[in-house]
Formats: sequence, C-alpha cells, structure tokens
Amino acid sequence: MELTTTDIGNDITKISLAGRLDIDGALKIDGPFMDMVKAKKFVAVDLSAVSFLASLGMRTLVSGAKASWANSGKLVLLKPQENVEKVLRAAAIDTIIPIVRDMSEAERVFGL
Amino acid sequence: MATEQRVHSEWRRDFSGAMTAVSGAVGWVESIASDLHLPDGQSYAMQVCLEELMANVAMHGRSPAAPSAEVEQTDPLKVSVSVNVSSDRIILTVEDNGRPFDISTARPRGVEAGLDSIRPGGLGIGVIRSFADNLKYSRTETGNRVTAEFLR
Repeated sequence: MELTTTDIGNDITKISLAGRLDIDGALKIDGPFMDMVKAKKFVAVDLSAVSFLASLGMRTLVSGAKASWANSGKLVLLKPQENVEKVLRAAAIDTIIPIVRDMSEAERVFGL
Repeated sequence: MATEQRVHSEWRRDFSGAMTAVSGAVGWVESIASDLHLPDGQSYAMQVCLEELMANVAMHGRSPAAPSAEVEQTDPLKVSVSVNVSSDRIILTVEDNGRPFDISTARPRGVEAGLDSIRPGGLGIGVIRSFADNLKYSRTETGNRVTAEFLR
C-alpha cells in the first residue's frame, strides 16, 4: 500500500492511495493518512489505484472523514474502481462520504 | 474413448484465527481463483468475503473478558477455510472455534445517522451479504460454520 500527496492549491490536497487497502494496507497507512487529513482542510482521497478494499480499509477512510469534519474540513473519495465502489456502497459509506468522479466535482462538494 | 471431465474440486487449509493470518488466507483463495481463471469480479467477491469473515473471527472470536494468554495457549483460535468449486457455483466455507456468532442474522452496522455518529469498524456484514449470493450459518460442536455461495 503506497500513499502520496499532492497539494493542488485552493486549500485542496489530493491523497493518492495505491495497492490493496486490506488489513495489512490499512495498518500501514493509518498513521500517515490521519496525520495528513488532520493537517489539511479539503482532502480528495484518490482511490483509482486501489485494487482491493475491505472493512478495515473503510475504517481508515471513515476515521479520516471524521477527523476532517472535526477540523471543519471535508473529505471526498475520488474515482474508486468498480469493485471498490461496490464495497463502499454495500457498507453505505457513499451516504456519508461523497464519491466523486473528478476534481471539479470534488471542488463543488468542497463548496469552492 | 470417453474423456473424464473434472466438474468438482475442493481445497482446504487451516489458519490461525489471528488478524495476521488473514492476508495469507486471502492470498491463497486469490491463487485458487487465478488457477481456475475465474472472472475478476468472482475472485474479488471470494476474497472480500473471506477477509471480512476472518477479520470478524479475529476481532470477536474470543470473549473480551477471557484471560486471552491462558486461553490462547490451551485452545488457540483457529480457522479452517475450504473452497468447493463445481460447474455452477463456488462455495466458500469458514469454520472457527470461537464463541457463537450468527453472521447470517446479525444486523449490519448502520450509517443512517450520519458520519458524526458512526463508529469505525464493523462494516463487513453488509459487504459479505452484498458479494455472496447465499449466506448460511450453523453452530458446530466446536464453534461456527459460515458458508458463502457464489453462483457462476
């Protein structure tokens, strides 16, 4: 599981995840992911290179979204692959964390 | 001369019930799916269901009140996984020796009340029900048996 960040201006940071966000992947990125989310106002988590997601990975995403809210920020999930999106919808995560297709949609969610 | 057609195959392997064993078990199922050239969606469904079922055993298989070190020495938490493949379905069976938990009737943790009120974790029940075509539970002499069926 790899994690990279890109500051794209306008208070928006893109956190790109790559690999399997399973138990091992979630344990690996939990700390740095939470540190980055807490430090930024608007966060788009790019899931396009995440090939697998299970509930411990969702726990990481939900914890990040809660931390972002607590910080008066917002977090969205960007471009999940089909099976990953199915997992998100099966757990109804999409009802509490917006799923967006591109950065312009993310900016609308952020109210920019 | 008649050609024998293999229409039924079964794999079985035992794992520790610890969280650290989950990735190895999921990788094993992924390799079976790959050997059988199963479609990606079917392989994914098997993997995600196994991950959720084994994570559930690791997190809830023992009573929180149990003296864990002592119990783990005399009766360690164990998981047995079998994959049964026939022409029209794949059956994934997960057996454990943990405390009773009927996942087929357990309520998925709701997120209806919004982000602020949900607790992270425990989201796997809805995922299993979404990816498996059928889900059955039975209590065994030593623990639990969950059968997830995937139609081909």
